[in-house]
Amino acid sequence: MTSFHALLEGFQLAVTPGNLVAAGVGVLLGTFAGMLPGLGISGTIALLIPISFGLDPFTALVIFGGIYYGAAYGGSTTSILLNVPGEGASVVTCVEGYAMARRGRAGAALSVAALGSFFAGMLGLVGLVLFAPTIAGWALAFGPQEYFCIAVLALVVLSGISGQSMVQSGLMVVVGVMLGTIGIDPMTGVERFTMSSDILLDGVSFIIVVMGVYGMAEVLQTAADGDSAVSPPRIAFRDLYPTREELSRSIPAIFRGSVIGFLIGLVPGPSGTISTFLSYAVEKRFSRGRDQFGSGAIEGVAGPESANNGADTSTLIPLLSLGLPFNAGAALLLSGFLIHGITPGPNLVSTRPDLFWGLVASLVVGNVMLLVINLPFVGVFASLLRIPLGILMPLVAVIVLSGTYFIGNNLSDLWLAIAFGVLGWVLKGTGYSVAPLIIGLFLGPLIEKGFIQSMVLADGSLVTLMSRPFSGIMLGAAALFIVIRIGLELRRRFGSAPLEAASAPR
Amino acid sequence: MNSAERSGPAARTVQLAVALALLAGCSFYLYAATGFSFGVWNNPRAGFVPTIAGCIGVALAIGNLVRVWRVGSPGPVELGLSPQRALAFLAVLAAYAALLGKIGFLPATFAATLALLLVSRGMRGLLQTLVIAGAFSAIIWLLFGFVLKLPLP
Repeated sequence: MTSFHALLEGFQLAVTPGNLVAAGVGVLLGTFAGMLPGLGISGTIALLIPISFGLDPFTALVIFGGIYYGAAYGGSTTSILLNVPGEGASVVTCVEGYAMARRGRAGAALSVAALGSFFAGMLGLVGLVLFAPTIAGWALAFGPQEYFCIAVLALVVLSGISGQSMVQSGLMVVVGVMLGTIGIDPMTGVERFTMSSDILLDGVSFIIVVMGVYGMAEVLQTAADGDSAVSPPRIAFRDLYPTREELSRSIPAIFRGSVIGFLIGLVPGPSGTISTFLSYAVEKRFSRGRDQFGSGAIEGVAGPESANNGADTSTLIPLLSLGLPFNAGAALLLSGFLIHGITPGPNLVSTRPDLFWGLVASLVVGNVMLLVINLPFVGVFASLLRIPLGILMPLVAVIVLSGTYFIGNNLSDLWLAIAFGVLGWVLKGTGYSVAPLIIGLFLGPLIEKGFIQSMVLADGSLVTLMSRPFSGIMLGAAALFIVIRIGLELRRRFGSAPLEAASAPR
Repeated sequence: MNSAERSGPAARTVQLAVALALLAGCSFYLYAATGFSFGVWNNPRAGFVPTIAGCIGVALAIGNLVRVWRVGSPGPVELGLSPQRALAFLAVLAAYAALLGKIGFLPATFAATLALLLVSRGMRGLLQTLVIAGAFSAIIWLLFGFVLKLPLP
């Protein structure tokens, strides 16, 4: 059966009335939760995971597809209307989007953002259809050595490009790996770091940590910031039409941004943030309206928004073909799948092609729904932003905490979520990024298992591990990345020292 | 977000405290990891990866502490204008976690929502606060218990 026929069968599953409603609900909830400052895609998925409990697995996948796209767009809405970036990927949208809103062009900015996101999402999904089954086919031949080496490369790259110092992000990765070793060791059956507590015997649940460090931490931060009332502009449907000139300037930017996002999404790390900054730089350099940058250039919205969605979609290629999440949002999506007994990876493509292609189709449906539902309702979403955070955040806090209970029907999980909420609040408040911690927590157990199995198979020889072609390339790339990163750091430190000294006031 | 961005000596103290706490956590982890059998390279045991992770973690935590110490305040501390309100939120959420299994989902959720709204908004619009807490608790009780048919505590 060709991929095309399989995809058509996936659509038969995804477009039943029940699943269409599920996609719509997912997009609406994802957009609304994504608009809450600070949550981002990861926090939004964590917050909304409980609503999928009790649903059949495929409907849950459809909901997650909608939430994933809705959350990304929700962040853009807040950025454009309120100048509040929900996450790193929305920062550059604030610059041009909010400037457009101040000129009365908020509707055009929102519609161009939606169109760009849609196009980039579709491009990413085409890439997913074309490449994921092939990569999954190769990955079937992978042994623990290859998985270990891919995970190591992912962590090394992530440590180097998380937007903070390499020491800080490396430390966060290692703390995540440490948390992942808590509980009964699956290889030896030994109880580790449980402090004789039954709560920790099964380990620290990835989802509970995420609900803590994203959901609960954001609640605490907002509580500490105080109640803030905002007044976004009112937007009528007719305001959504971009002018002919705006449209003609947006199309090349959307195309460039989509390609940039697609490529960056294949690299481990905060691909959304990196791709938006890169796209912004490209538009500022090459677009027709480059002289308007800073005062509301539409290319500065179209390019980065497309790049963000393109990256969010193409990062699903390694997720679905290898079962490895390359950023926190993908890890959250993966955890949502795992809760429903669906394990993405090469085996999903070969043993449950119905689910794999159904998921791809549901992502397409989610992307279309985003355009169909969000644009007409953008005025409603804007008015929802008028609800004071002082009312919203208590409700979010209760949803997060009660949702934590439903993950394992265990009251002790609530205490863990609160503890990780405090940890996330303090870490984020003092400048540490928690995304590397989340990925470290997720990949840590995979690395440990892969490493131990590799060592047993190779009779303890690291040379054997490095001599396998694929794993050798991955480890070589990781080593090269570390060398380059250290070289850049040294050059920055010592190369700029004389300049700093020269320019320092005497 | 309109967080209070603290910098200067106070921020440096907070940054140092966090860096020290991270070092203490990594050191404790490494100490505990050495209690497990390390094994040998061709037969790694339960302490193998934790010991390696602990060593790397301690090294990085020391590097982080030195960096904070030398740079001074590496960035602003953004723990909000009123961390006390966050602590009040924490107290309510802890009470919710404690009460959920004892008094049931609906009463505990109503009490927690009401308390959080009061912490957040104060006594202004008390009737509105009561209505929001009641309606919200009823909606999520219906959603989780009857629509999604999840076992309620």
